[in-house]
Amino acid sequence: MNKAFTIDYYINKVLDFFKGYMDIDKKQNAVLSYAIRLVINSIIAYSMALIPALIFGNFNNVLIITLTFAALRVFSGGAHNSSILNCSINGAIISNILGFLPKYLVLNKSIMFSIIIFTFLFSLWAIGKYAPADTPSKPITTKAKRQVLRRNSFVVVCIWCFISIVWFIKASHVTTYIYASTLGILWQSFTVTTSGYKLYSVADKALLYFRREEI
Amino acid sequence: MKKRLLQAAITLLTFLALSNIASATSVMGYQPEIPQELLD
Repeated sequence: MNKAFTIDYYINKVLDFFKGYMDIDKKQNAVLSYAIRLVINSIIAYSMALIPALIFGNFNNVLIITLTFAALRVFSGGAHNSSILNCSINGAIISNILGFLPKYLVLNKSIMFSIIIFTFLFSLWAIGKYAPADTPSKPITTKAKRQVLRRNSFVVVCIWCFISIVWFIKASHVTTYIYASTLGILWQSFTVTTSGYKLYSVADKALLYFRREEI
Repeated sequence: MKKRLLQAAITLLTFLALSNIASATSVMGYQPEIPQELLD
């Protein structure tokens, strides 16, 4: 008998393990199933981004880019892919391409500072206009929640900018942290815009086509 | 001991699920479907 080794298969395996030791009702089962899916999705997505980064020698850059991206994304939302595999492939490609920039496109402090200021202003504009950017699978329905998420998005961007400016004053050269985190913030800010949604939609359709799946 | 560890794991996973509901989206470019039990 052929078993489909899908994410659901592994989620059920973990839940069966839990159920072997304690009683789990229907509601807890649904909550745990969702949480385990989030964990597995994260492992898949980060592995697919970081393993190529390790091979290419960009691990630090890609790690900082993805973590900065995630820190802002939690509050600002942004464009999505239609499946975890498309999300992982898309994320791996973009983060690794961006990861090459600090390595091969060396910038001096003044240019880096200009990019930081541009990224800060662009992020403020994108967040002010579009954030929080929700999806059909997780709509943000209350005004209060919208305001809290938008405010927290601004806080994340301001904290990042503050750290970057402190670096600019103290450091003598462009560091990986500042360069990579700037790219992470810029990428995430772009994904909340209309153009970011369009780009993700095109990338998603292209991935579905190459994977021979129905669009 | 094992049961306590599993209870801790369940607590952590429940916290993760609720944190995700409170946030705008998941940290990657894919948002799985939220079960009705979490929305209630």
